[in-house]
Amino acid sequence: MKVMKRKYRHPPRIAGWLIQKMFPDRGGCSILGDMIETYRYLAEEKGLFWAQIWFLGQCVKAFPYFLIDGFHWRFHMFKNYLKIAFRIIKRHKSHSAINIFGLSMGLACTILIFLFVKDELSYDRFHENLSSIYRPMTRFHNPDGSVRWQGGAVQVPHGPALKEYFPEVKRYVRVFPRELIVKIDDRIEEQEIIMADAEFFEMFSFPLTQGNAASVLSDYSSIVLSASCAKKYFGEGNPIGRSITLISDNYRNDYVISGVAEDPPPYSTITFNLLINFENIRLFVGANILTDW
Amino acid sequence: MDRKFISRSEEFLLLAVWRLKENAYGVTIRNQIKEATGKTWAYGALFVMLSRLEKKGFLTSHFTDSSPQRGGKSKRIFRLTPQGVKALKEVLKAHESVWSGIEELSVPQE
Repeated sequence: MKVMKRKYRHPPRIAGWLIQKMFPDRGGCSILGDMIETYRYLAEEKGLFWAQIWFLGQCVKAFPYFLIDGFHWRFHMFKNYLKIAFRIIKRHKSHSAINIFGLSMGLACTILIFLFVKDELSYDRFHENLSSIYRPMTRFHNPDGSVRWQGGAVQVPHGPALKEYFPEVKRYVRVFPRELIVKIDDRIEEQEIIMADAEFFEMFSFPLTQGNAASVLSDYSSIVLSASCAKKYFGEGNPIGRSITLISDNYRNDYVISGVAEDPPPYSTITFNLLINFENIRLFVGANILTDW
Repeated sequence: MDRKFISRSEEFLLLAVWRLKENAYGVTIRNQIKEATGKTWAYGALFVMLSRLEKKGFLTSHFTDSSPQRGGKSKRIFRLTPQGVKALKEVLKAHESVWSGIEELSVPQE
């Protein structure tokens, strides 16, 4: 028997430690013993270098088995837990029924509340200028301070006045809906028309498929259609430059289509099919609304 | 209950343990399998399989005193249980019946 140097008597210590950690073997570490025995044998037969390589190789090979074994036992324990749970349910039927019913009701309510809140919070999130867009609202108070009425609309002159008196207000867009008769060629329909200030498409993120956001509403006689509306009236044809007549009780006016916007997303407070410049409010509502507080 | 048959590698292991009688521990089992099948098993694989067989009740094991030859580690001697013997016999029976009547294995002729 060759005499080995003392430091080679032991295989790589880190590898040995790893093996010991991976396979605790009830504290006996017989696997490490087995490996050391084979290591010594190999060291005498083929030389120390090969024995060390072999030992490290065994360590690497053992690793996947270590993982698989862990999963194996965990899976078995899990199966066992399920089985026990099932037996308990069978043994205490009414009690389990009450428990499971209560838990499922609770879960269902939680999920429904979550969905509702998520739905509510998702409104109007798509605007790029979201953080700097504000909507003024109206609130009437009783003399004792309690709220008498509140709503999401303010008078028309608020827009220019806010911009004039508050320097932090950079721009304003007023939106005013009105039901009008729409006449396109021979089609006559009643539709909701949105009257909006010319900067509407610059302030809000409603992308235009045709037309320029800065100028599409600047002309008083231009009109913008939503994509679905354009498709409804003109099919696949190009609607730009076509004319539309809007008729109210006592007024009618011709408009030229200057742009087409994508349909507003379902989570949008502002929805529109047809948009015209806000100044048209003079024709369809009356000029005094512009100064009426 | 109709239990599953033990797997092929489990069969090899149990047979190796049976052949080695009182001297069945990691090194000898591994050598025995190599001798019988020509395949060299990693110790990790061997250990995992053996401990699984023990959990299933086919093997029992006990630790011997540690020896300096093994770096101060003890041997874990494995022994077959009656259940293990029964499992082996079942496999043997199944083998005999599925292989019965086959004199020589060749490609079936059309």
